[in-house]
Amino acid sequence: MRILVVEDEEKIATLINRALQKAGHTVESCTDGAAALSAISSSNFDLVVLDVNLPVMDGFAVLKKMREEKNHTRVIVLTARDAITDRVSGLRAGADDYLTKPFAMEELMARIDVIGRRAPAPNQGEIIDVGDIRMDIRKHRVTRAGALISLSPREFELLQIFMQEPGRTFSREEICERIWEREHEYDTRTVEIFIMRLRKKLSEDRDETLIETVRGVGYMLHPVK
Amino acid sequence: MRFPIKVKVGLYAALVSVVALALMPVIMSIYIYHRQLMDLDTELRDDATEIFATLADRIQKGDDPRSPLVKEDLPESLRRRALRIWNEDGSEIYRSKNWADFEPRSLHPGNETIVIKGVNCRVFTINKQPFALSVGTRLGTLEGMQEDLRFAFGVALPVVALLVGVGVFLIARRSFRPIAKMTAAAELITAMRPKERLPVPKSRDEIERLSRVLNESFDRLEKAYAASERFASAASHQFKTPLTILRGELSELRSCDYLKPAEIETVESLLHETRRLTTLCEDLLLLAQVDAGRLELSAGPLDLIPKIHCTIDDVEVLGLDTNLTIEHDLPLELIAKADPRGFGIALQNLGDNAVKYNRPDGKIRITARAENGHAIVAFASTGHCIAPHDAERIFERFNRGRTGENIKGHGLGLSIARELARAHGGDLRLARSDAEWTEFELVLPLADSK
Repeated sequence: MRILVVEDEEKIATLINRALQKAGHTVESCTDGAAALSAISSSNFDLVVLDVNLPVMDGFAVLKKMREEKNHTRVIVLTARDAITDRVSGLRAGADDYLTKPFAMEELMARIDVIGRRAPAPNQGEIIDVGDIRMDIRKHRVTRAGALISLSPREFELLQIFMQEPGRTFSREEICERIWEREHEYDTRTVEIFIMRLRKKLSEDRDETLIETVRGVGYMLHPVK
Repeated sequence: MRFPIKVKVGLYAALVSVVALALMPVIMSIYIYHRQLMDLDTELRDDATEIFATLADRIQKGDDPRSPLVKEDLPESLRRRALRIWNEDGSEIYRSKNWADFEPRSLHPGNETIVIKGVNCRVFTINKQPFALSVGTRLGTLEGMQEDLRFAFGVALPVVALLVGVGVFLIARRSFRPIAKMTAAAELITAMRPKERLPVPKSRDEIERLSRVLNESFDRLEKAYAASERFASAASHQFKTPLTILRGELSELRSCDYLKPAEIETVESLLHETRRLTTLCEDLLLLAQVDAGRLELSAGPLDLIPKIHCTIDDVEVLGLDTNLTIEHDLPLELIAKADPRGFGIALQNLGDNAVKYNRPDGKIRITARAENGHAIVAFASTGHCIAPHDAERIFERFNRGRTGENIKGHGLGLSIARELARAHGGDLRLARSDAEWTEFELVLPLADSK
């Protein structure tokens, strides 16, 4: 994909650029809102990663202007603020997704893959099936091959994260952030314990591994072949 | 119970007027009584002198002073007086009928008050050669006047007190009207509307000055609010940018193939510290928002129970190391007016504390109930009794009490949980702390209460 990164912090821009290039994207970058607008209007991008706090013209203004000019290039907004009002105004202005700083780079890459349709969108339905595991989100029920599995609330949340995006590897950090939002006392170890408990409950009396440990990265739920 | 100043001033004025009015008849009656008594004494003396002179004349003419006195012997004014005349040897010469019951005894010369049949009488006595005489009269008229005076004041007292009270209340209400306006205006000056100001009446009095001085203070407050807000938004950008860089570079480093296991461990630990720093930064921002009165909560009806079950889940895992036992007693549903994220943070802080400030093999008891329009979530843990003088200090920022010195954390957990609870219109309090249990109660308004 051809991606424009608009970020005034040089180091963050470099980090994002490196990660995107590593993932095989073509990257261009600029450091202020006005430059971003002229770059977008003079050239075709598949996606824009847009920081909110920019000199000259802030991210929301850029986004608004883009949409006014009927430019429908997909946009991921990066915001340092995490107030609810920011999120709402960001999405209303026409962003396709947003991330709050500081974010995990894997998460940004995963979101970009989803928006670029290189990965399927997270499963948002009320009932999700992965293999013989079925999760009913509304009723808070999980069955495997028809047999009810009783999960604690956190185990359920953990499994939900995996089941919404089977085949994607989640780092311990991202899992922590998704479940607890904030730093938790012994976070990554806590994740390990919950993963252990979840595995035990899911694979009772079986030899297979459903949740795989990806060395040095994190965990992944095996998608169905 | 609150009394407005105008009511108080009215009541005090009524009280003062009652005291003043009560003192007035006392002083007046004493003065009038003495004055009238003096007059009476003069009259009695004149009468006595006159009759003494008349009788002396008769004696000179050779009449027997014992022959009955006739009307004409007595001066006009004497006819209703009591009269008694006696000889040097004490034998009585004459006694008027209205003095019939008087026990015969000699009186001192001059004025005297005596009691005859329970009635106070005033007497004047002349004791000269060759006989003595006393002229007396009842004090009834004088005493009656005194009583009338007291009665009149007694009737006037409540009426005057009522009039003064109501009058002063009305005057006070009028004078305090600018203050009532100021109060109403001051209530509007919040963090949300910092530009509102008090009306300044052109009355050239203390109230005008007060509103000017207060407005100046509000100016300064507004500047402080603005500075605090600027800090919050600047900090969110300034801190988060380096944190994003740190995190990005660290995770890039961790995914490198050439790292040794020990190095991976170091990088993981650094990443964790970065996350701790992020949380600390978020906590400080949250407190800055609270201080600026800008904490935004989106509180709506929320069933607290699923969130509490999540916390119980966390606490069970966190308590594995120290072998804690978790008990809980929760209703099926408890719907409060709460912001999901804010409530989650408060719960997490309380759960973390219950694990951290516990003894090995200790217990944690988590309960919830509805009480008087409030939802109460209680976290009780064993060990670490909090001394009574520390009971409030533990809620202060960066203060972890004496027991917290060797425990991991930055000492903001309780103060943040309390600020969040208060921003919901609830509270966080230490319900009990003794050798057995230390219990915190998180109070939130129920969804259906106002």
